[in-house]
This record gives sequence, C-alpha cells and structure tokens, in this order.
Amino acid sequence: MALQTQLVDGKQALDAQERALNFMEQAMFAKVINYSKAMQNSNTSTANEAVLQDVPIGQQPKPLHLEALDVNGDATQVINQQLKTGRNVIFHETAFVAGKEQMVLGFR
Amino acid sequence: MRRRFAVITSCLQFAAILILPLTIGCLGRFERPTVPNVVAPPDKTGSYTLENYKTDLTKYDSATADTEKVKLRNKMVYGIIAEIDYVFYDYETKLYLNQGAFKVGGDFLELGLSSASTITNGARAKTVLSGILSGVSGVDLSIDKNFFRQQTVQAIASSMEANRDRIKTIMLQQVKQDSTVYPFSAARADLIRYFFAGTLPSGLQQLHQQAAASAQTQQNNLNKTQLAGITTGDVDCVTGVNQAVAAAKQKGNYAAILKFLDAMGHPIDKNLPQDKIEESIDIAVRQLGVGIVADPALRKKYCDEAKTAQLIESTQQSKEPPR
Repeated sequence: MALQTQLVDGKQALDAQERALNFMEQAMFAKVINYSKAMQNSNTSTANEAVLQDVPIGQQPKPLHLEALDVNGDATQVINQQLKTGRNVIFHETAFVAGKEQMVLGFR
Repeated sequence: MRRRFAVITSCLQFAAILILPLTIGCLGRFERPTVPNVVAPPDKTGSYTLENYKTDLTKYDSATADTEKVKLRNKMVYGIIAEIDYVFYDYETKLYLNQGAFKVGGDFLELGLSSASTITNGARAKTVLSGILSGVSGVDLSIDKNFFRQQTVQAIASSMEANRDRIKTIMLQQVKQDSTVYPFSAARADLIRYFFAGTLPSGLQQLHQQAAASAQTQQNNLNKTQLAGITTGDVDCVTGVNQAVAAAKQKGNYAAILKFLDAMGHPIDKNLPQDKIEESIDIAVRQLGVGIVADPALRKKYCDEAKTAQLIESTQQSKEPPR
C-alpha cells in the first residue's frame, strides 16, 4: 500500500492535532503509522510530519488517540493505562505540542 | 634482416588492405542495418514527394465536398508524417554517433532543418520537408550552453521523442475531424510543430522545463501546508463520506458516490464495467482526500456536496473545537 506524508501544525494543542490526524485518515482512506517532528524544519518551524499508509475502502481502522508527556518522561504508565482500555501503541516519537517538543504516543 | 623486415612490412600492408574494407563495411552497418528498398526505394516509389504534395494541395483547395477534402487532408498529413519520421530517426542515429560534433551557438537553430535535410536519403524527404516548411524562418529558442553540455544524448533523444509523441497523438485525433474543424492549414501548423519537436533545441528546452518544474515541486514540498484548525464537524464530515463510500462498495450501488464525485470535479463514466467504476472511485476519493487536507475552501465544498448527495446528514455542521 502506498505511503504519503502530511504536515501538521505543531503549535496546536494535542487534541487539535489528534483531530487533524483523524481527519487525514478518514479523508484519505489511510491510517497514520508514524508521527514525529518534521525533519526539514528550520530553526523556527514547529511542523510535525505524519506518515500515512493507504487502507482498502471499508477497512478503516479505529480512530487514533494521542497522549503526550515530557520528552524525558516515563511512558510506561501512559502505555499501561491505554492498554487497559483496549488500545495498542502505534507510535512513540518526539513531536511539537503547543510549540514545544514533547514525547507523543499514538494509540489505536 | 632488411629483407625480412620488408617481408613483414608487406604482410602487414596486405593484411591492412584486406581488413580495411571489412572495417569500413562494419562501421557502415554499425549505426543501423541497411535500409530495405521497400522502405526507401531508390526511385522514390511510395514516398510522399513535393510533387505529390503540390498536386494534393491543389485538389484540396478546389474540392467542395467535405469527404473529399478530409481524404486529401489526411493523405497529406500521413504522407508528411512518414517523411518527418524517417528524417527524425536518421537524425537521432547521427546524434548518438556524433554528439561531440554538434556546435552550440548561432547555428543551433539551423540544426533541425539543415542537419535533417543533409542526412536524409538523398533528396527524397528533403524536398517535401522544404515544401511544408516554406516560409518558416526558424524557432526562437534560448538555450543555456552550459545546460546543453550537461545533458546526455539519451536524455535529449527521449525528450525529443516525448515531444513528438505528444504532438502526433493530437494530430491522429484531429484527422478524425471534418475539414471545417481541422482544415489543412491547421494540420500544416501541427506538422511544423511535429518537425521541430524532433530537433535538438526542442529536446533541450523540454529538459530545461522539466528540470525547472521538478525544482518547483521540491520547493512546494518544503512549503507544504501544515494542517491546522480542523473541527469536530470536519472530522464527522469526512468520516461520514468514508463510511458512505464503504457502504456503497459493499452494496454495489454507486449512484450517490458518482453524483458526489461529479460535483467535485471528478466525473466517472457510468458506462464503464463495474470493476473499472470501482477502481476509478477508489482513485478519485483518495485524490480528493489529499486535496481537502491542503485546501480549506475545497474542504467546505466537499462537505456541502456530500450533504447534497446525501452521503452525510445535512444536520452535520462544522463546530468550533471545544475550548
């Protein structure tokens, strides 16, 4: 299945970025497989880059949920909480949230 | 010792005399096989000559019935295309063999006509080409000399062939039209373009444009829109459309989807076989999806048209995100 990349404004709060990713998935008939700060950022840019993979029509996965914590924080507790709700980890990367670098985890 | 040396020298000379014609013969057949007589008859049988062209053009101008005009127009077009094709392939062969010999400068623009003419099979093609190109003084092209030096013959030849194919495709479509829609004067203009498309300047210009377009694409990628401001209503809209398309696929009923795609500028022929319709819908909805990510105005139209086509509830409104 084809891969595409899209940029998301990292100055937004986490919930806005979550909406943006879910919007992309539904609009493009795809799923996000990775999300992190964009590599081509200049010193002042705070863009995040989503990598999307096409999915067959009718096989759209469950919505994506984002959690964020300090870059050097311990993600174990967050992951365990999400696992209890039946979600699995999709990605675990550094990305911009409200303009600042944070550890961002994606669950589905 | 002196006699032995003379014998050896004579043997070498004799061997050279024997080998040389073979070598020349090999070189003569190296660039291409010998052209069969049926392709290029020495007596020009089957060729489209300048006399043929003049005769047909006179008949064309005096003909009144459209069927007669179309027949004559197409005869001239096909005949000249064949002549242009022959000189081009001959020219292309020489280009591969003589890349280093081409000069850059003021005579550049003449390469297309003079080189093609001088390397054709005698006067056969030269005369009809001179006839069709009479009054054409040349094409004003600006070629960066440094750019030329960086290009390979393969790239230039591919570029020329692509240019020619594009114009030939148009002409082959146009000859299906009547003589009012596509008179010979229009065909002549296309034939001139077709000829010059197979010249070195045209090939280089196309490569130059492609390089510029590629650079612009890369620049555009760097400036790609960063998605922001998506509302819950936006998410609901695209989720609804996604589900509607999936449901339509499951039921095999695409009427509403086709209406929606038509309104969004992605029409699909309803008379296509079912599998082709499904394939076309798949491509179209994905392309649209990429489009609305980058374009807020298109996004709004997408949701409005989805409501009109009843893919989503008309009560779904864009809501401001919760604060």
